[in-house]
Amino acid sequence: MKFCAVKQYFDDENNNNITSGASTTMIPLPNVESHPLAILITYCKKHLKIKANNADNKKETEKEMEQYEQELLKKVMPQELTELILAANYLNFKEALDFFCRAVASAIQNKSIEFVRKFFGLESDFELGEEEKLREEFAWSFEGVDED
Amino acid sequence: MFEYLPFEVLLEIFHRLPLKSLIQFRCVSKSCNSLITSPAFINFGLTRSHSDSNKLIVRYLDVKSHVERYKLIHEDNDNNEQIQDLEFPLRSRCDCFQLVGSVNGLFCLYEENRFILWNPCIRKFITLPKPSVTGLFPCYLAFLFDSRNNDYKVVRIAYQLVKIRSEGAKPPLVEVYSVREGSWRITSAGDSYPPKITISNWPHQAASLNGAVYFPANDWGEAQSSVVLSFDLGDEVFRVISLPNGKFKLNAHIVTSVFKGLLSLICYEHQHMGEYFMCRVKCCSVWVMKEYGVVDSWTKQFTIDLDMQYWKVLGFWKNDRILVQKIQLDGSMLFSYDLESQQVNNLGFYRSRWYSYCYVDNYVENLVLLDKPNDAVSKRKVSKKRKCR
Repeated sequence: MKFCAVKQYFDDENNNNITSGASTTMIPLPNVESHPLAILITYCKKHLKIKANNADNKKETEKEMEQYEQELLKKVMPQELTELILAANYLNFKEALDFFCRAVASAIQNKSIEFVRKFFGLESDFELGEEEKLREEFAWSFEGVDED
Repeated sequence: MFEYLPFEVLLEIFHRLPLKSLIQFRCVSKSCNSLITSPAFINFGLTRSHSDSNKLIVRYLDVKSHVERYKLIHEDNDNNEQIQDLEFPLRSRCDCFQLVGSVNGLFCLYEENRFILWNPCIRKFITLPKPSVTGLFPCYLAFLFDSRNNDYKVVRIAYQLVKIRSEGAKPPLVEVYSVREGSWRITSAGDSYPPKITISNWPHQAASLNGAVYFPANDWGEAQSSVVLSFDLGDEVFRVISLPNGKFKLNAHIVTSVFKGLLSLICYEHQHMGEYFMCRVKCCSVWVMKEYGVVDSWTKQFTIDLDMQYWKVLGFWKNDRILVQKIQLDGSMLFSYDLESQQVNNLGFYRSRWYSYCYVDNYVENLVLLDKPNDAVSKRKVSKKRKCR
């Protein structure tokens, strides 16, 4: 089961010997919104489908997944990525976590500091002059940064 | 809508960023700076997928004196247009630094009791504090990564001058510098130093494997032959690894290396046997110790027969390829030779000094030294009384 947190829930249930005669079980996921969850479920289903279709051919699986991922990224807003990452992290869904982290890394690499701050909602908490000192020390790394 | 990202998630994202971005993003906030310069993050750095496994760093001594050059090249690039200069931030007091070795992209350089660790990809270097005993002792150095404690170490073996080959000679003083500790420590390794063994004077970097360093050496005792002297950083003990009987005379031209994860020897047969280089290569063979510690397991893996006069093996690349330097009057040509397909890849021409050796290593993006205080380039005057070695 890909959603390891959910699997854990089932495992715990079994350990407690709760007979669940019902075929549907309500699992509480307090930290996940419905929208990112829907995307993750779709991602998961697609992943399993592609894997089944390309039974032994790992390369084909990777190629198809990449194509699907590219398509998915076009539909997802950058701000949604953080929600998706949080959801994937909570659910302990490793493949999705890896994918969305890579997507965020791609989105922010070589962007300006201000862009990154805005993206994560962070503010500079450096003391006076500290940031300038750092920038000066590694001035070479700031060459060729994308325009905002 | 701002969602607070937990620390472990930020880590996951940052691990997938290229090195340049990581350095810039230190400026995002104090917590970002702490995260990126934390030992856990720096040490994790090596397993990241951003290391370009096709890039090599080439070091050579320029024809112009006092200049050593470092270039970044692509091994699989036929036309070699992508040669990039790496700026070397130091200036040797004598001519050029002695290259002690390099591991995971970190270089260790030495001259006259000044030790430097340089990480070219973050453009940072540190000068080590002076070791305990300094002076004109002949000393042998090695640099390695000790994976047991995730630490980079410099080994210094300093001999006390008198009569090393004879009985009753004083054992050497062995000091180890640890990057983690930031200091030198004198070991009691001298106690285990085997008698009548001298390390070979042919200037090459010592091989390192599994937390130990290996020097080609001479046994002037009963064996009267070449041997390998190992120093293990774990128990800090010297050991002698014998070589197949009769095959390696004293002062053989051997270089220790690592081939496919095993201790190996690159053995040259030169036309005019002498103490130093300036000899034409007759042939070169590579031996491998298939079973560590078992002398009988030394196997001649292959012979390299190149139709050239002056050349040297610079190392092994991706298991099947050999990196070779062809030494000419006007410089050196580097190429890689594939053992299986016998394909030759031209790696460029370098205007190096006549009969100076090039050095090649895998280019690895590594954040080590990022958390160390910055070293300004020293503007100390060179004392005229000091002799340059």
